[in-house]
Amino acid sequence: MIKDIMKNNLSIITTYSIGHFYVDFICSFVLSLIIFQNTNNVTSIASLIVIYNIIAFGTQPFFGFIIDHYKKPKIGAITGLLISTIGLIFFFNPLIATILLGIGNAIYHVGGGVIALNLEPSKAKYPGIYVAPGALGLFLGGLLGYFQIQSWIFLVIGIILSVALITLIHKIPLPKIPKFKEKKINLIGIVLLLLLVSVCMRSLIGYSLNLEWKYLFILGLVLTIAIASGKFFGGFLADKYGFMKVGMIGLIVAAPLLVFFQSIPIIVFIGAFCFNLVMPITLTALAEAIPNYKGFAFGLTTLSLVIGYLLFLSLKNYLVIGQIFTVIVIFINIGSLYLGLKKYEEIKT
Amino acid sequence: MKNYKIGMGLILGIMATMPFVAADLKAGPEIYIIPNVGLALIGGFIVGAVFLIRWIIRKIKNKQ
Repeated sequence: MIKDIMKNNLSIITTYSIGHFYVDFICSFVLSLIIFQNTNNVTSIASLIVIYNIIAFGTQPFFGFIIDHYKKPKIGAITGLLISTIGLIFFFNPLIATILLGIGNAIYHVGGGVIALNLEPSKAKYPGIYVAPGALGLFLGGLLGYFQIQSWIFLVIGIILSVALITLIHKIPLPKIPKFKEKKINLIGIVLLLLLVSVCMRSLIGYSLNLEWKYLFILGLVLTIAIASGKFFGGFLADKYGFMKVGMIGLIVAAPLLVFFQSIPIIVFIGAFCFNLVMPITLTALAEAIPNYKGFAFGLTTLSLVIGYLLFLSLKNYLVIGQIFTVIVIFINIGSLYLGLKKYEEIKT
Repeated sequence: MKNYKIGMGLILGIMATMPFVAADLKAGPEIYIIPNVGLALIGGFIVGAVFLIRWIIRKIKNKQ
Protein backbone atom coordinates (compact mmCIF):
# COMPACT_ATOMS: atom_id res chain seq x y z
CA MET A 1 0.00 0.00 0.00
CA ILE A 2 2.72 2.48 1.06
CA LYS A 3 4.77 1.37 -1.94
CA ASP A 4 1.84 2.12 -4.25
CA ILE A 5 1.38 5.59 -2.73
CA MET A 6 5.09 6.32 -3.09
CA LYS A 7 5.07 5.12 -6.69
CA ASN A 8 2.06 7.29 -7.43
CA ASN A 9 3.67 10.28 -5.68
CA LEU A 10 6.82 9.79 -7.69
CA SER A 11 4.95 9.79 -11.00
CA ILE A 12 2.98 12.90 -9.93
CA ILE A 13 6.06 14.85 -8.86
CA THR A 14 8.02 13.79 -11.97
CA THR A 15 5.23 15.03 -14.25
CA TYR A 16 4.84 18.36 -12.48
CA SER A 17 8.62 18.87 -12.28
CA ILE A 18 8.93 18.30 -16.04
CA GLY A 19 6.10 20.82 -16.43
CA HIS A 20 8.03 23.28 -14.23
CA PHE A 21 11.14 22.82 -16.35
CA TYR A 22 9.09 23.28 -19.53
CA VAL A 23 7.25 26.43 -18.40
CA ASP A 24 10.47 28.10 -17.22
CA PHE A 25 12.19 26.98 -20.41
CA ILE A 26 9.64 28.55 -22.78
CA CYS A 27 9.39 31.75 -20.72
CA SER A 28 13.15 32.16 -20.71
CA PHE A 29 13.42 31.19 -24.39
CA VAL A 30 10.83 33.68 -25.64
CA LEU A 31 12.07 36.51 -23.41
CA SER A 32 15.66 35.91 -24.39
CA LEU A 33 14.63 35.80 -28.07
CA ILE A 34 12.84 39.13 -27.69
CA ILE A 35 15.78 40.68 -25.80
CA PHE A 36 18.44 39.65 -28.29
CA GLN A 37 16.27 40.68 -31.25
CA ASN A 38 15.87 44.19 -29.84
CA THR A 39 19.29 44.95 -28.44
CA ASN A 40 19.17 48.40 -30.04
CA ASN A 41 16.04 49.30 -28.09
CA VAL A 42 17.20 49.10 -24.47
CA THR A 43 14.22 51.05 -23.13
CA SER A 44 11.65 48.61 -24.43
CA ILE A 45 13.65 45.62 -23.28
CA ALA A 46 14.00 47.04 -19.76
CA SER A 47 10.26 47.72 -19.67
CA LEU A 48 9.41 44.21 -20.83
CA ILE A 49 11.68 42.68 -18.19
CA VAL A 50 10.04 44.82 -15.50
CA ILE A 51 6.56 43.83 -16.72
CA TYR A 52 7.46 40.12 -16.82
CA ASN A 53 9.00 40.08 -13.34
CA ILE A 54 6.12 41.97 -11.79
CA ILE A 55 3.53 39.63 -13.28
CA ALA A 56 5.44 36.36 -12.87
CA PHE A 57 6.67 36.94 -9.32
CA GLY A 58 4.41 39.60 -7.82
CA THR A 59 1.08 37.98 -8.63
CA GLN A 60 1.85 34.48 -7.37
CA PRO A 61 0.48 35.02 -3.82
CA PHE A 62 -2.87 36.04 -5.26
CA PHE A 63 -3.12 33.22 -7.79
CA GLY A 64 -2.02 30.91 -4.97
CA PHE A 65 -4.76 32.25 -2.73
CA ILE A 66 -7.39 31.63 -5.43
CA ILE A 67 -6.10 28.07 -5.96
CA ASP A 68 -6.19 27.45 -2.19
CA HIS A 69 -9.70 28.82 -1.97
CA TYR A 70 -11.10 26.57 -4.70
CA LYS A 71 -8.69 23.68 -3.93
CA LYS A 72 -8.06 23.16 -7.65
CA PRO A 73 -4.28 23.08 -8.09
CA LYS A 74 -4.50 20.74 -11.09
CA ILE A 75 -6.70 23.19 -13.00
CA GLY A 76 -4.23 25.92 -12.00
CA ALA A 77 -1.28 23.98 -13.43
CA ILE A 78 -3.14 23.19 -16.67
CA THR A 79 -4.25 26.82 -17.05
CA GLY A 80 -0.69 28.00 -16.44
CA LEU A 81 0.69 25.65 -19.08
CA LEU A 82 -1.99 26.66 -21.55
CA ILE A 83 -1.42 30.40 -21.08
CA SER A 84 2.35 29.95 -21.34
CA THR A 85 1.90 28.04 -24.59
CA ILE A 86 -0.27 30.83 -25.99
CA GLY A 87 2.52 33.21 -24.96
CA LEU A 88 4.96 31.07 -26.94
CA ILE A 89 2.71 31.24 -30.00
CA PHE A 90 2.61 35.04 -29.70
CA PHE A 91 6.41 35.31 -29.64
CA PHE A 92 6.27 37.77 -32.56
CA ASN A 93 4.41 40.31 -30.38
CA PRO A 94 6.76 41.12 -27.47
CA LEU A 95 4.25 42.82 -25.16
CA ILE A 96 1.45 40.25 -25.47
CA ALA A 97 3.95 37.38 -25.22
CA THR A 98 5.53 38.88 -22.09
CA ILE A 99 2.20 39.39 -20.33
CA LEU A 100 0.89 35.92 -21.23
CA LEU A 101 4.14 34.23 -20.22
CA GLY A 102 4.18 36.09 -16.90
CA ILE A 103 0.59 35.07 -16.08
CA GLY A 104 1.10 31.47 -17.25
CA ASN A 105 4.33 31.12 -15.30
CA ALA A 106 2.77 32.50 -12.10
CA ILE A 107 -0.30 30.22 -12.26
CA TYR A 108 1.67 27.08 -13.13
CA HIS A 109 4.18 27.64 -10.34
CA VAL A 110 1.60 27.91 -7.59
CA GLY A 111 -0.61 25.13 -9.02
CA GLY A 112 2.27 22.66 -9.16
CA GLY A 113 3.65 24.00 -5.88
CA VAL A 114 0.43 23.24 -3.99
CA ILE A 115 0.48 19.68 -5.36
CA ALA A 116 4.15 19.15 -4.42
CA LEU A 117 3.60 20.53 -0.92
CA ASN A 118 0.56 18.34 -0.33
CA LEU A 119 1.98 15.01 -1.53
CA GLU A 120 3.53 14.35 1.87
CA PRO A 121 2.72 17.26 4.19
CA SER A 122 5.58 18.67 6.30
CA LYS A 123 8.16 16.81 4.18
CA ALA A 124 10.52 18.88 2.05
CA LYS A 125 11.62 16.30 -0.52
CA TYR A 126 8.73 16.73 -2.97
CA PRO A 127 8.86 20.55 -2.98
CA GLY A 128 12.64 20.21 -3.49
CA ILE A 129 12.19 17.93 -6.48
CA TYR A 130 9.53 20.25 -7.91
CA VAL A 131 11.52 23.50 -7.67
CA ALA A 132 14.90 22.11 -8.81
CA PRO A 133 14.37 21.85 -12.61
CA GLY A 134 13.27 25.49 -12.90
CA ALA A 135 16.84 26.80 -12.82
CA LEU A 136 17.85 24.40 -15.61
CA GLY A 137 14.85 25.42 -17.71
CA LEU A 138 15.71 29.10 -17.31
CA PHE A 139 19.34 28.53 -18.27
CA LEU A 140 18.72 26.34 -21.32
CA GLY A 141 15.79 28.43 -22.57
CA GLY A 142 17.85 31.59 -22.26
CA LEU A 143 20.69 29.97 -24.15
CA LEU A 144 18.47 28.83 -27.02
CA GLY A 145 17.00 32.33 -27.24
CA TYR A 146 20.48 33.86 -27.26
CA PHE A 147 21.40 31.81 -30.32
CA GLN A 148 18.28 33.18 -32.03
CA ILE A 149 17.09 29.71 -32.85
CA GLN A 150 13.62 30.40 -34.12
CA SER A 151 11.74 28.38 -36.63
CA TRP A 152 8.21 27.15 -37.01
CA ILE A 153 9.46 23.64 -36.24
CA PHE A 154 10.31 24.79 -32.70
CA LEU A 155 6.88 26.31 -32.34
CA VAL A 156 5.19 23.10 -33.49
CA ILE A 157 7.38 21.02 -31.14
CA GLY A 158 6.50 23.42 -28.32
CA ILE A 159 2.77 23.11 -28.95
CA ILE A 160 2.95 19.31 -29.20
CA LEU A 161 4.92 19.13 -25.93
CA SER A 162 2.41 21.40 -24.21
CA VAL A 163 -0.53 19.30 -25.37
CA ALA A 164 1.26 16.12 -24.21
CA LEU A 165 2.03 17.64 -20.80
CA ILE A 166 -1.50 18.99 -20.35
CA THR A 167 -2.93 15.57 -21.22
CA LEU A 168 -0.55 13.87 -18.80
CA ILE A 169 -1.37 16.29 -15.98
CA HIS A 170 -5.08 15.91 -16.69
CA LYS A 171 -4.92 12.10 -16.66
CA ILE A 172 -2.74 11.61 -13.59
CA PRO A 173 -4.93 11.14 -10.48
CA LEU A 174 -4.17 13.34 -7.49
CA PRO A 175 -4.83 12.57 -3.83
CA LYS A 176 -7.53 14.78 -2.32
CA ILE A 177 -6.20 17.82 -0.46
CA PRO A 178 -7.17 17.30 3.19
CA LYS A 179 -8.28 20.00 5.60
CA PHE A 180 -5.34 20.60 7.91
CA LYS A 181 -5.45 21.43 11.60
CA GLU A 182 -4.43 25.04 12.11
CA LYS A 183 -1.24 25.85 14.01
CA LYS A 184 -0.77 27.96 17.18
CA ILE A 185 -2.14 31.33 16.22
CA ASN A 186 0.24 33.48 18.29
CA LEU A 187 3.30 32.21 16.42
CA ILE A 188 2.10 32.05 12.80
CA GLY A 189 2.76 35.73 12.07
CA ILE A 190 6.29 35.68 13.46
CA VAL A 191 7.19 32.43 11.63
CA LEU A 192 5.98 33.89 8.34
CA LEU A 193 7.83 37.17 8.89
CA LEU A 194 11.15 35.57 9.86
CA LEU A 195 11.13 33.01 7.06
CA LEU A 196 10.15 35.61 4.48
CA VAL A 197 12.98 37.88 5.68
CA SER A 198 15.30 34.91 5.22
CA VAL A 199 14.06 34.34 1.63
CA CYS A 200 14.41 38.05 0.89
CA MET A 201 17.98 38.10 2.23
CA ARG A 202 18.82 35.02 0.16
CA SER A 203 17.68 36.84 -2.95
CA LEU A 204 19.72 39.91 -1.95
CA ILE A 205 22.84 37.77 -1.46
CA GLY A 206 22.29 36.07 -4.83
CA TYR A 207 22.23 39.43 -6.62
CA SER A 208 25.13 40.94 -4.70
CA LEU A 209 27.59 38.20 -5.70
CA ASN A 210 29.95 39.27 -8.42
CA LEU A 211 30.36 36.22 -10.64
CA GLU A 212 31.51 37.51 -14.02
CA TRP A 213 32.75 34.08 -15.13
CA LYS A 214 29.21 32.65 -15.08
CA TYR A 215 28.61 33.99 -18.60
CA LEU A 216 30.96 31.34 -19.97
CA PHE A 217 28.69 28.55 -21.14
CA ILE A 218 30.21 25.58 -19.35
CA LEU A 219 30.75 27.44 -16.05
CA GLY A 220 27.23 28.84 -16.21
CA LEU A 221 25.85 25.37 -16.85
CA VAL A 222 27.75 23.79 -13.95
CA LEU A 223 26.65 26.64 -11.66
CA THR A 224 23.02 26.07 -12.69
CA ILE A 225 23.40 22.33 -12.06
CA ALA A 226 24.88 23.08 -8.60
CA ILE A 227 21.92 25.36 -7.79
CA ALA A 228 19.37 22.81 -9.04
CA SER A 229 20.97 19.91 -7.19
CA GLY A 230 21.15 21.99 -3.99
CA LYS A 231 17.39 22.50 -4.18
CA PHE A 232 16.84 18.85 -5.15
CA PHE A 233 18.90 17.28 -2.37
CA GLY A 234 18.01 19.93 0.23
CA GLY A 235 14.57 18.42 0.68
CA PHE A 236 15.85 14.87 1.11
CA LEU A 237 18.56 15.92 3.56
CA ALA A 238 16.12 18.06 5.56
CA ASP A 239 13.68 15.17 5.88
CA LYS A 240 16.46 12.86 7.06
CA TYR A 241 18.44 15.14 9.39
CA GLY A 242 15.97 17.88 10.31
CA PHE A 243 15.18 21.32 8.90
CA MET A 244 17.24 23.24 11.43
CA LYS A 245 20.41 21.17 11.10
CA VAL A 246 20.50 21.15 7.31
CA GLY A 247 19.42 24.78 6.97
CA MET A 248 22.01 26.10 9.41
CA ILE A 249 24.88 23.92 8.16
CA GLY A 250 24.02 24.77 4.55
CA LEU A 251 24.12 28.52 5.17
CA ILE A 252 27.17 28.50 7.48
CA VAL A 253 29.20 26.43 5.01
CA ALA A 254 28.01 28.47 2.00
CA ALA A 255 28.76 31.88 3.56
CA PRO A 256 32.60 31.92 3.49
CA LEU A 257 32.72 30.06 0.17
CA LEU A 258 30.47 32.58 -1.57
CA VAL A 259 31.90 35.69 0.07
CA PHE A 260 35.66 35.13 -0.07
CA PHE A 261 36.11 32.90 -3.13
CA GLN A 262 33.88 34.52 -5.73
CA SER A 263 36.56 34.33 -8.37
CA ILE A 264 37.13 30.57 -8.02
CA PRO A 265 34.30 28.78 -9.83
CA ILE A 266 34.73 25.34 -8.26
CA ILE A 267 34.41 26.77 -4.74
CA VAL A 268 31.38 28.85 -5.76
CA PHE A 269 29.75 25.67 -7.13
CA ILE A 270 30.05 24.04 -3.70
CA GLY A 271 28.86 27.25 -2.03
CA ALA A 272 25.87 27.52 -4.38
CA PHE A 273 24.96 23.90 -3.70
CA CYS A 274 25.02 24.44 0.09
CA PHE A 275 23.26 27.81 -0.20
CA ASN A 276 20.37 26.28 -2.14
CA LEU A 277 19.86 23.41 0.31
CA VAL A 278 17.88 25.95 2.34
CA MET A 279 15.33 26.69 -0.38
CA PRO A 280 12.96 23.68 0.02
CA ILE A 281 13.30 24.03 3.80
CA THR A 282 12.02 27.61 3.96
CA LEU A 283 9.32 26.82 1.40
CA THR A 284 8.01 23.80 3.32
CA ALA A 285 8.20 25.53 6.71
CA LEU A 286 6.31 28.54 5.36
CA ALA A 287 3.63 26.36 3.79
CA GLU A 288 3.26 24.30 6.96
CA ALA A 289 2.78 27.44 9.05
CA ILE A 290 -0.47 28.07 7.15
CA PRO A 291 -1.23 24.55 5.88
CA ASN A 292 -4.60 25.40 4.37
CA TYR A 293 -3.05 28.21 2.29
CA LYS A 294 -0.04 26.52 0.77
CA GLY A 295 -0.44 28.17 -2.63
CA PHE A 296 -0.47 31.57 -0.97
CA ALA A 297 2.62 30.65 1.08
CA PHE A 298 4.38 29.49 -2.10
CA GLY A 299 3.57 32.81 -3.75
CA LEU A 300 4.84 34.77 -0.75
CA THR A 301 8.31 33.33 -1.29
CA THR A 302 8.45 34.65 -4.86
CA LEU A 303 7.17 38.04 -3.76
CA SER A 304 10.00 38.08 -1.19
CA LEU A 305 12.46 37.32 -3.98
CA VAL A 306 11.25 40.42 -5.82
CA ILE A 307 11.55 42.50 -2.66
CA GLY A 308 15.13 41.24 -2.32
CA TYR A 309 15.83 42.29 -5.89
CA LEU A 310 14.32 45.74 -5.35
CA LEU A 311 16.34 46.13 -2.15
CA PHE A 312 19.46 45.28 -4.11
CA LEU A 313 18.64 47.85 -6.79
CA SER A 314 17.95 50.59 -4.27
CA LEU A 315 20.90 49.81 -1.98
CA LYS A 316 23.23 49.62 -4.96
CA ASN A 317 22.84 53.36 -5.42
CA TYR A 318 23.87 54.20 -1.86
CA LEU A 319 26.23 51.45 -0.77
CA VAL A 320 29.23 49.68 -2.14
CA ILE A 321 27.94 46.16 -2.53
CA GLY A 322 31.05 44.26 -1.55
CA GLN A 323 32.16 41.53 0.79
CA ILE A 324 31.27 43.37 4.02
CA PHE A 325 27.75 44.03 2.77
CA THR A 326 27.31 40.37 1.77
CA VAL A 327 28.63 39.18 5.15
CA ILE A 328 26.13 41.42 7.00
CA VAL A 329 23.26 40.16 4.86
CA ILE A 330 24.34 36.54 5.38
CA PHE A 331 24.32 37.11 9.16
CA ILE A 332 20.80 38.55 8.95
CA ASN A 333 19.83 35.55 6.81
CA ILE A 334 21.27 33.03 9.27
CA GLY A 335 19.62 34.81 12.23
CA SER A 336 16.19 35.06 10.65
CA LEU A 337 16.30 31.45 9.42
CA TYR A 338 17.39 30.17 12.83
CA LEU A 339 14.66 32.04 14.70
CA GLY A 340 12.05 31.26 12.04
CA LEU A 341 12.78 27.53 12.11
CA LYS A 342 12.90 27.53 15.91
CA LYS A 343 9.44 29.09 16.07
CA TYR A 344 8.29 26.73 13.30
CA GLU A 345 9.36 23.75 15.41
CA GLU A 346 7.36 25.22 18.30
CA ILE A 347 4.17 25.46 16.27
CA LYS A 348 4.71 21.99 14.84
CA THR A 349 4.70 20.35 18.26
CA MET B 1 -16.69 54.47 7.78
CA LYS B 2 -13.20 52.95 7.71
CA ASN B 3 -13.66 51.80 4.08
CA TYR B 4 -14.87 55.26 3.14
CA LYS B 5 -11.74 56.81 4.63
CA ILE B 6 -9.45 54.32 2.86
CA GLY B 7 -11.28 54.96 -0.43
CA MET B 8 -10.94 58.72 -0.02
CA GLY B 9 -7.25 58.34 0.83
CA LEU B 10 -6.68 56.25 -2.29
CA ILE B 11 -8.47 58.71 -4.55
CA LEU B 12 -6.53 61.64 -3.09
CA GLY B 13 -3.30 59.66 -3.46
CA ILE B 14 -4.02 58.94 -7.13
CA MET B 15 -4.92 62.59 -7.73
CA ALA B 16 -1.67 63.69 -6.08
CA THR B 17 0.45 61.46 -8.32
CA MET B 18 -1.29 62.55 -11.53
CA PRO B 19 0.79 65.70 -12.16
CA PHE B 20 4.00 63.70 -11.80
CA VAL B 21 2.81 60.96 -14.12
CA ALA B 22 1.68 63.60 -16.62
CA ALA B 23 5.05 65.32 -16.41
CA ASP B 24 6.83 62.03 -16.96
CA LEU B 25 4.59 61.22 -19.92
CA LYS B 26 5.29 64.62 -21.41
CA ALA B 27 9.01 64.06 -20.89
CA GLY B 28 8.71 61.09 -23.17
CA PRO B 29 10.73 58.03 -22.46
CA GLU B 30 8.73 55.11 -21.17
CA ILE B 31 11.73 54.17 -19.06
CA TYR B 32 10.52 56.67 -16.44
CA ILE B 33 6.94 55.49 -16.51
CA ILE B 34 7.10 51.72 -16.52
CA PRO B 35 9.57 51.25 -13.64
CA ASN B 36 7.55 53.69 -11.53
CA VAL B 37 4.28 51.98 -12.35
CA GLY B 38 6.03 48.67 -11.71
CA LEU B 39 7.25 49.83 -8.31
CA ALA B 40 3.77 51.06 -7.44
CA LEU B 41 2.32 47.70 -8.46
CA ILE B 42 4.86 45.75 -6.41
CA GLY B 43 4.06 48.09 -3.48
CA GLY B 44 0.39 47.26 -4.02
CA PHE B 45 1.13 43.54 -4.12
CA ILE B 46 3.08 43.77 -0.86
CA VAL B 47 0.23 45.66 0.83
CA GLY B 48 -2.24 43.12 -0.59
CA ALA B 49 -0.16 40.19 0.66
CA VAL B 50 0.11 41.71 4.15
CA PHE B 51 -3.65 42.27 4.15
CA LEU B 52 -4.23 38.62 3.16
CA ILE B 53 -1.83 37.36 5.86
CA ARG B 54 -3.72 39.36 8.47
CA TRP B 55 -7.04 38.09 7.09
CA ILE B 56 -5.85 34.46 7.26
CA ILE B 57 -4.56 34.89 10.82
CA ARG B 58 -7.85 36.52 11.86
CA LYS B 59 -9.80 33.67 10.27
CA ILE B 60 -7.74 31.02 12.06
CA LYS B 61 -8.14 32.96 15.32
CA ASN B 62 -11.92 33.04 14.93
CA LYS B 63 -11.97 29.30 14.28
CA GLN B 64 -9.84 28.53 17.33
